[in-house]
Amino acid sequence: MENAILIWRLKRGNIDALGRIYEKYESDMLAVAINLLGDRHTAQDILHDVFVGFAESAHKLSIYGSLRSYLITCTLNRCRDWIRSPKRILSTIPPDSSEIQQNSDPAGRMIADEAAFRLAAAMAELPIDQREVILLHLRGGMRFKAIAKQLNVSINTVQSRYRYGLQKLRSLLNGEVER
Amino acid sequence: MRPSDKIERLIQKTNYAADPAKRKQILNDASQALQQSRQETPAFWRTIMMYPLTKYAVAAMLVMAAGLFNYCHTGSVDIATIAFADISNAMKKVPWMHQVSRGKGVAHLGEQWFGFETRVFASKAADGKVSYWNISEKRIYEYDPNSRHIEETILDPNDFPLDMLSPLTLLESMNKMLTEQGAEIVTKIGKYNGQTVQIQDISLEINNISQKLSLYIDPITKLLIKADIKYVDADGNNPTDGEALYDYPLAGPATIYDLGVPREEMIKPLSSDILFKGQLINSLGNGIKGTVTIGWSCIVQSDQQGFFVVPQSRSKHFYGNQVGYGMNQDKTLGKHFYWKTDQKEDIQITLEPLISIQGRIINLKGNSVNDAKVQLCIETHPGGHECPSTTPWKTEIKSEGSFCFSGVPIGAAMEIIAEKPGLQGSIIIARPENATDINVGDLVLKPLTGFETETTWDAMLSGCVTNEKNEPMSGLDVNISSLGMKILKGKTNRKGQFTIKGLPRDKNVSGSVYAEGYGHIMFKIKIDASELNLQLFPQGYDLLNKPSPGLFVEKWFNTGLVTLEQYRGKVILLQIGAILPIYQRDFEMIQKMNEKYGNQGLGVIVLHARLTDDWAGPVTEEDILAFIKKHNIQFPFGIDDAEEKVKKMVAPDKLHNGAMYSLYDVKATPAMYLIDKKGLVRISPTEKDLEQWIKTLLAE
Repeated sequence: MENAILIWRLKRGNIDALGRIYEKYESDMLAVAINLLGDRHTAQDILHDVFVGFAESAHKLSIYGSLRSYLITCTLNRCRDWIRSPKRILSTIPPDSSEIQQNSDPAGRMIADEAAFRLAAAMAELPIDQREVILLHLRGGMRFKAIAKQLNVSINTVQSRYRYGLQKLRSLLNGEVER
Repeated sequence: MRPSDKIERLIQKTNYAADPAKRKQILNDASQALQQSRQETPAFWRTIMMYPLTKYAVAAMLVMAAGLFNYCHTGSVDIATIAFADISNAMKKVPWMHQVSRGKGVAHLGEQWFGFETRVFASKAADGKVSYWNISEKRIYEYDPNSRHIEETILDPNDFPLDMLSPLTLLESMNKMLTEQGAEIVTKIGKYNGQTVQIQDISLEINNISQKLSLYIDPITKLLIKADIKYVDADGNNPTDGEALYDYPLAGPATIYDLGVPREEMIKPLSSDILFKGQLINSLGNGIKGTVTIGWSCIVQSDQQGFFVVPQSRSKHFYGNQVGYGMNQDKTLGKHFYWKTDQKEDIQITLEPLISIQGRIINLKGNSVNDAKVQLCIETHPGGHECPSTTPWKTEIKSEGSFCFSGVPIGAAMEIIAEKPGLQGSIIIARPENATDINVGDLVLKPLTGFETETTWDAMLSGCVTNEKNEPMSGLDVNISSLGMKILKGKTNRKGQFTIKGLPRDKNVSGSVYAEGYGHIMFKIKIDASELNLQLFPQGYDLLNKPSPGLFVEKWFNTGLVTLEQYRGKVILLQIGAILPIYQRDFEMIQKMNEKYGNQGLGVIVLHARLTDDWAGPVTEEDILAFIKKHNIQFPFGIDDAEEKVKKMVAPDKLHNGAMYSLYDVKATPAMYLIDKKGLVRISPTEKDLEQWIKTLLAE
C-alpha cells in the first residue's frame, strides 16, 4: 500500500517519494552489492548507478512484483555486469582486515560492524550462484519460485543452492553467530 | 533453534548504510535524474515534438487541436460550432493533407504532405532538404542537396508510433493532452479570404510560457484551412509567429523523386552500421527468403538465399539480451531467436512450422471465465517477459473461456497472462522443443492480494474535486492505490468531475489526490453508491488573511534571535522544510527572489524541519552550517522547533513534525508562505505564482 503511493508519487516526479524509497531499501541493496562484490567502495558505486537509473526511468516504470525485489534484482544484475566486465580489478576476494581499517571512513559504519564484516568474508567463500540465491531470498524477499524464474534454473536447483550455501556459512561462522 | 536460522536472521537483519557523503551524492544525482525526466515530460508542443515526424509537421498538431473545443464543452454548443465528431469524420475521408508553413521562429518551414491512406509522410523544407517516410514499408528516405545523395534508413516505433498517422488518433491524443494541460478555448465566427469560417482560439500557459493557437475551420467541409501559432519562451525571447495553410489534394508524392529530388541521385543503401547479420534456413539447411523482426516492429528482408543484415536502428537503442523472430515469406514457418547487442557471430535461424497454443481461463471454483484479457508474452531475458502489442500471431478468444494463439513461432519461453478487474493469472511455457501445438490446460485467475474471490469488481466511484472557492479543479489524478500493485485512476475534467471504474464493490479503499499548492490529500471511502466530493484547501488555508502565528525556532544558525516584529512593514517569504540536499532547485528560487527583491522590502526566512519520516537522512547542524557557508546565506536560517513547550499550541498528535510545520499546516515540504507588510499570512504560493505574489504584496 505504502509502496503503491510512493511509486505513484515518484512517477509524478515527487522527490520525497524518491528519498523515502531510497531510505527503505538502501540497506537491502547495499547488502546484496557488498556480499556479492566483497568490496564496499564498488558496492556503493553500484548502489549509485542502480538508484540513479531507477530515478531516471521512474516516469516509465512499471513494476509487477514488489518494489523491493525489483530493486534487488536490478542491483544483482548490475553486480553481475560488473563481475563480468573485463576492467574489474579483483574478483570476490574479501579485503583483509588491515585494509579495511585503513580504508573505512572515520564513521566506518558498515565495516566497523563486526558481524557484517565477518558475514561478507564468509560470503566471499561461497560460489557466486549460491550467494545470489541467498541474497535474493533473504534480502530481496523473493520466493524460491520467483528466484528460479529470475535465474532461469529449476526450483530444485535454487533450493539446493540455498541449502548448500547456508550450510557452508554455518560452518564458516560457526560459534560466531551462536555467541 | 537451528544455527542456520540465526544465520538467516543475520543476513536478513544486518544493517548497511552508505557513507554519508556517498548517500548525499546518490540522493542528489537521483533527484536530478528524476527532475530531468520530469522536465522532459509533457509540455504541450514539446510532447508532440518528441516524435521526429510530428516535429516536421506542426500541421498534425494543429489538426488535432481542432477537435478540442467540443470535446470539452459538452454543454451548450453554438450553432456555428463544428463538433469534434464532424471533424473526425471529415478527416477520415481525406486521402491527403498538404500543409505550407511559414513565419518567424517556425521550426520547420516548408511543405508537408500527409498520406493518410497510403501511410506516407513527406516533407520539403525551405533549406532544400527533403524527406519521405514510407510508414507501411518502415523506411525513411532523406535527401540533402549538399551531400547530394538519398539516404535510406529504417523507421521504427521509437521514431514514430505507427498508428499516429491516423487522423483520428491525432485528434484524440491532442484533445487528451490539451484537456490535461487545461487549455482555454474560445470559439468565434470570422472571415478568411472572404469566406465565413469558425475560428477557435486555444491558449495555454505552462511555466509562464504562453502559447496561442488559432484554427480556422471551413464550416462546410469541416476541415482545417489555416492555423496561426504564436508563442514566446519564459524570458519573452524567441517569439514564434507563424501560420500554416492547408489543402486536401486527392493524390500526393509517390516517391522521393516526386518532391523535386533529381532523378539521377541514387539511393544509398541502408546505413552501414549493422547490429548483426545471419541467415534464415529451413529444416533441411537450405536458405529461405523471409523477414527478420526485432523489437517487435523493426523488420528487415532477407535475400533469396535467406541472408539478412540488421542495420543499426535510427534511434532505437538495444541493450543486452534481446529477442526477435524470423519468418518465411508465406508466414508459415518461423522461429524466435535471441541475440545480444554485442553479438559478434552470425545468427542462423532454422525456421520451423508455427504452432498454436490453447487453453482455458477458469476461476478458483473451476468455472470458465469469458471476459478476461489474455496475452501471450515472450521471454526477452531470464526472468523478463515482453507482451508485444504487434504480434505475428493471432489471438482468439472463444466461448467457454477458451483462448487460442495461432501462428506462434517457437524458440522462446513464453508466458500467458490473463487479467480481469481484481483478478490475475499466468502460465509459463518452457521453451518448446518441437513444433507441435500446445494445450496449456486451465489458467486459473486468482484474486489480487488482499481481496476475496467473492469481491465484485464492477463498482464505480465518481465525484468531484473543487478548490477552496468551490471551483472545479481540472487535470488532477484521483488515485485508488490500495488494490495490491494495481493503481486505478481517474482524471478530473473541466468540471472537476472524475470517474474510476472497475473498483471492488462494498470494499473500503484508500486513495489520494495531489495538487500543487494544496499538497497530498488522502482519503478513505467505501465503494458503494456514494460520491466522493473532495474540497481541497491550500496549505495554511485557515491562516490566510490572519496574523501570522509567529516563529517557533529552536535555533538560528547565522543570526541572533529573529522575530516577525523585526520585519514589520516588509513582505516576508517564509520557507518551511528545506531539506538540504534534495531541494536545491526550490532553494535556488528562494535565493533568486532574495537577490531580486531583497532591497525592495522582501525579507526571507528559511527553516529546516525535522520530519518524522525524514527520509533524506538526518541533517545535522554541521550540514546546515556547511550549507549556509557554501551558499553564503545572509538571510536567517533556523530549525523548526520540536520542543515540548509548544505542544499546548498545536494538537499533540501533530507535533511530531515540528511546531512550524503544524502551525502553518504544511502538506508537502518544502512549503512557502508570504506574510504581508501588516503581518498577515496571505498565501502559500506555488513555484509558478511566487514572483507575481511578491510583486503584488510589495506594491501594497
